[in-house]
Amino acid sequence: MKHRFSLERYFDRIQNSEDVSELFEHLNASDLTYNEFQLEKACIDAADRWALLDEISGDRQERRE
Amino acid sequence: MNVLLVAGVKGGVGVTTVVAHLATALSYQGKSVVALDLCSANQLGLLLGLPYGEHRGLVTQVAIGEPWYSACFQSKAGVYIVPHGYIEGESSKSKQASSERIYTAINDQLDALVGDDIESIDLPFDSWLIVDFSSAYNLPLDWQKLLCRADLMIMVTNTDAVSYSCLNRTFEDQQAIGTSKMMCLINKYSSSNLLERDIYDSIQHQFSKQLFPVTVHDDKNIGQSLASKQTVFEYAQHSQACRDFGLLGTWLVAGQCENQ
Repeated sequence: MKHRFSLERYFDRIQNSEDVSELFEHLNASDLTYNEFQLEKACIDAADRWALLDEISGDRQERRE
Repeated sequence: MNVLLVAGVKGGVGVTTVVAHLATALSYQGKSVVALDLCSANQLGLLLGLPYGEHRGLVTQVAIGEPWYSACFQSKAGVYIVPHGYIEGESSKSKQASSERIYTAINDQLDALVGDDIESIDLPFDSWLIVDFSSAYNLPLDWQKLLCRADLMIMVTNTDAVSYSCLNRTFEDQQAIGTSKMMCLINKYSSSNLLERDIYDSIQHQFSKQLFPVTVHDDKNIGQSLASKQTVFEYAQHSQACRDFGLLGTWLVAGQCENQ
């Protein structure tokens, strides 16, 4: 059975509560399992690190809208 | 007959290595396997143990009006190999002209290539045909027709930036041509650097439904096995690559059993 994500469980693992709140809202994280949230966050962090990943992700987003 | 087409998002991602090792893995699981090389680099036979100087293959047989499977060899592991082949002594100019004639003839035989002629080779009903499609996008083949006859197209990618970009384009094309038979296989993955890990996560996130649950890891044994004219199954049977390809074969066979 999947555990649905709990912000309180993740809260202890991060330092900046504003970042998490914004991320939580952006991802609608309450619908995700913890593993799914980790992957989502990892991909957002990756896009922040590498310009090409950011561009591809942005292009995909534009085509969805 | 299970038909797998194996292509790469770009050159050099390891398509021929995947075909050779997947064919061997299935053969070791007791399946009859035909490995067909549509790549003009003609390396599949070499990876499966054919002599370097062996020039016979698909193009030589079609050029003389013989059936494509008449240049069929067998590897030590029992894989039936139909190499691409090359015509000896041709200049590059006449090679190009004869290639066009040959691929016109292959297009004419396309239905036979993945259909009726396979039945006439007298292989068991649960045999596998694995086609090395490496650079076949550049060939004047009706590959959409091949796709229709295939059970699955395996799109091989690495976890580098260019491959990731090409992978996205490939799956956009897939949506454009309306095929749902494409699955992505990550090859040569190394978790030792951050970029590869990030791209690995991005591929998992983006293509989760079309991603093989097996990843083939980067393994020096693969290059060394080729230099020893063996597959990793013979050269380094306890290697990571050997485990990965074995698992891939098992997953495909399990999927075949489910579909029957």
